[in-house]
Amino acid sequence: MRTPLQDVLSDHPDWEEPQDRAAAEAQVEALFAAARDRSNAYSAARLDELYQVTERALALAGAFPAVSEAKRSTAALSWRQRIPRLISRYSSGLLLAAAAPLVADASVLLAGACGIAAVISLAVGGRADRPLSAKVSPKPKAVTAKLQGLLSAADQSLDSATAPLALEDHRGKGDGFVREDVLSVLQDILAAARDGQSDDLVELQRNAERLALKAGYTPEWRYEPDLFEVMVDPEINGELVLKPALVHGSKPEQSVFGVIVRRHS
Amino acid sequence: MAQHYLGFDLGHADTALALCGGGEGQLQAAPTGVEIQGQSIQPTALTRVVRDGEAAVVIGGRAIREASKAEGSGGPQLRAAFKTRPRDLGAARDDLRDFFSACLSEAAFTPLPPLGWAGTSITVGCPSGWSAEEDIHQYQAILAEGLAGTAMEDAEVNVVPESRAALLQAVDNPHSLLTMAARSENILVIDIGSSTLDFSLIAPEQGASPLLDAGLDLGASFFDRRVLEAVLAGAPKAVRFLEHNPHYRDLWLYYARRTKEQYFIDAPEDDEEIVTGAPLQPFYTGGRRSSLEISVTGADVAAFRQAPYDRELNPSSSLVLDPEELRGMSWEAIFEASLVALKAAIERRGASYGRVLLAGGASRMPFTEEITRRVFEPDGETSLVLKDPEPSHMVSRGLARWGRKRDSVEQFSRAARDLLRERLPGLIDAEFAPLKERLSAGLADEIFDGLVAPVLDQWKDGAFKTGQDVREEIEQRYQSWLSTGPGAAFFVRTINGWWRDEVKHDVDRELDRLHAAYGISRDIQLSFDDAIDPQAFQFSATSVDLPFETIVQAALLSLAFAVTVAIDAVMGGIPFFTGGLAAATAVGGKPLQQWIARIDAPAFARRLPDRLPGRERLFGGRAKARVRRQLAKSLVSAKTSLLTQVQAAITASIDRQTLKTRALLMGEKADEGRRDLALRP
Repeated sequence: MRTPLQDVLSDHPDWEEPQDRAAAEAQVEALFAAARDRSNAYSAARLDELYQVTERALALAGAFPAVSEAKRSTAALSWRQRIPRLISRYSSGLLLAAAAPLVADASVLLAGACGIAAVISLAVGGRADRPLSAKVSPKPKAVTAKLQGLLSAADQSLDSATAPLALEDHRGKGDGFVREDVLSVLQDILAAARDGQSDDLVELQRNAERLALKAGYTPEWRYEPDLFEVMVDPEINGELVLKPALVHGSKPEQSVFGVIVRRHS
Repeated sequence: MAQHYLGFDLGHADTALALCGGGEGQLQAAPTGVEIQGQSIQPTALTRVVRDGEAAVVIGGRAIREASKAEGSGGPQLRAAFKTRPRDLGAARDDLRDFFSACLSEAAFTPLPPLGWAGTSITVGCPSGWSAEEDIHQYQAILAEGLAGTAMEDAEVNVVPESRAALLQAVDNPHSLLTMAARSENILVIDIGSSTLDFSLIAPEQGASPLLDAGLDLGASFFDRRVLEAVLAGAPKAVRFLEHNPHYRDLWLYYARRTKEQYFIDAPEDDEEIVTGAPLQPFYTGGRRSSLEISVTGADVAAFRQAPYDRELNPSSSLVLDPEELRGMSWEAIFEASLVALKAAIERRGASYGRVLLAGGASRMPFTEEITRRVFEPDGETSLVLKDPEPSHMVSRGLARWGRKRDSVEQFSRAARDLLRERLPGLIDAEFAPLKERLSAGLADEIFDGLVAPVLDQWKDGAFKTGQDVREEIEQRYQSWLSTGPGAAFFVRTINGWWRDEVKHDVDRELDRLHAAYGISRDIQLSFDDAIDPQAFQFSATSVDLPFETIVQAALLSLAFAVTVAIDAVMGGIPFFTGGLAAATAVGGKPLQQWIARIDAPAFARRLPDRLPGRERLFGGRAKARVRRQLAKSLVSAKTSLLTQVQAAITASIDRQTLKTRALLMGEKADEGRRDLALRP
């Protein structure tokens, strides 16, 4: 499955190569914006976080002056390769310095002029050796703040990636229906085994009562309006407990109604 | 932020609760269902009983059971279907109030200390057709009344249209198919409920109230009735039992409904497979015990789908549906006819829809999706109709999300505004030098190249007579530049560049902290990449205190010197005119400058500067540099007016960025202000 970013890139195979930093940044922004539009809110939020990291990384990189080609090529030269350059830079000064004593006999003034010229020439040549960029390039600005901003964005992205997507389940065990069914069966067993004549039925009733008690219920056979539903059957003589009520010991609202059958309501 | 957000979907037939957290690390967590009496959905029903001598309210499935018991002995009746407009509630007002309160008491949810219920926000749904001013306000008051005097009275209660909540759940679900682009279009919400079929056409991010609200009384409880009728058809003893015990019908209908839901959850492939969602129902008739198994098969459901619908439909007038024509039609056929009518109604209004969202528990019936696709995806599109995997909980979860999102947006917006109000003056003060530098360099380019140079070219061609005419023309163009797009665009561009390079990094971390605290940053596109968002704030360049006098004076003086230098060069290099001009400007003051400005230079003199060697550098470099220097000195006075505008722009930007979310939440325009729907008892 393609991601939204891959999707956007595949839709723009002819994406132009940016010519400068601003164009590259604008293109990254456009790329993320287009991918965002194709994502749902959750993925869009994650894309925004990634964009923040990207954007701040670019800002941090942009805080440093670009290394000029000239400086880079000079720095890359070996000592042997630098000798001709040094000779050419200092040769005039050295020549003048060497010429000074030679002309001193002819003219002290000329020798002095040669000396001064030599000093100036050497000084100028020496200055030319200093890195120009130190003077011309602006000092990197707010690097610490930008770096911290970048880390902060990365932290947020990580927090989101690891944040829980679901709460701890506040529901019970979702056993409402099953519990109702089980209690209904328990009522039926108690009713069927009541006054059982065989050992099997006695055992069944005792077991059912034990289970009911374990679940917190006490079987109730005596009719009480609050505990029993009433079924009407004109053909019945007297009353019949179809199901005993199960009275919960501590939570009356969880008691299960019994059913009594009567001729009239 | 509250600690807990409860979504309370109080439906006509069913009620469901959902919960989401507002605490740290919980802001992205999806809402979870909250059970009442061990079940995630309860019938909206209650009955009043006396327990241990005290009045008590019994709700949900227990209420149906309790009512069966009570009715058999002539006791109180079951109260149900009490959700209606507050003004039509009548005596059911108490039912609504007590049901709300009892549900919360019995919910498997206990708020955390120390705030307890005071840290809980409850959002309750209402039909989208209800008016905010009357219905919603009254409804809130009734609900809040239910909590008064209880442990829950400190909880906040909000009322929100259910269609909005369903939409929010569809939007915020991490697996949602609703893209950000799709949110810019209208979304049609089809809520298939137990008793009604409701339609809402919503413009999610445009803040309008629903563009269309319609519906009819086509309820999916029809299938519950069919299930029970089919079961009873094969159980004559049970029918005879009901003749003497009619109060058991409600209970069996309730189990029929559970059976129907179980069938659509299980979705058996074998049409003969028996599905049940209820325990055996014992009954006694003819002096004998029997039992009823409430179950259904695929073949049964297929027959129900063809059975004629059995209730009045009362369609909204906007659907232009004739109930007589629908009489005798099956549920499925009416459903399709109402969707076709809905589509026509949308077209009649000149509106459109992008995505169609199916909500409500009954949308689990697969044929509802098939029909919806048939109507709304006629061209073979397959992605227009969306359905939540748990449609029964869509509204309750959306309501919980609503509360959390509303708080997050409002509190983030406030905190961000406060932060920037507090920090901006200091930041602008500290970083004004680079802004001044950028503005003066940019303005010099804009004004000199864009305004002064072209006018001077025209002056050379004789378009203007005097320096005064040139000045007036420049001034006119300058004012026009300021008051129209290009001037404002220049300032916006320059200030935004400065913001990105010099200021933003200083507030990034603090804004990140707010984003994390309110979990809000990502879905409202709040990145603050720009100090001024042109779509949110109209920057007024004319209100910036700019030294126009200085700019024009510097430009014209430079020009005058260029002319005199050129004349002197032609005249043999003696700086007669240049010296004279220097002396005149130094000694003569303003009257002399004005006199010079009135000179109508002859045509040859106007052209002389063009013959001056190095004129490019003179005009392009030195004159402009002079303007730039003058500007840099004078822009200090613009600081206050710039600060005011940048602050206003950022506030507007925050408002705009939160607008979409507010519109999604409130369904209102941001300029109407936030309606505070919160109410405490």
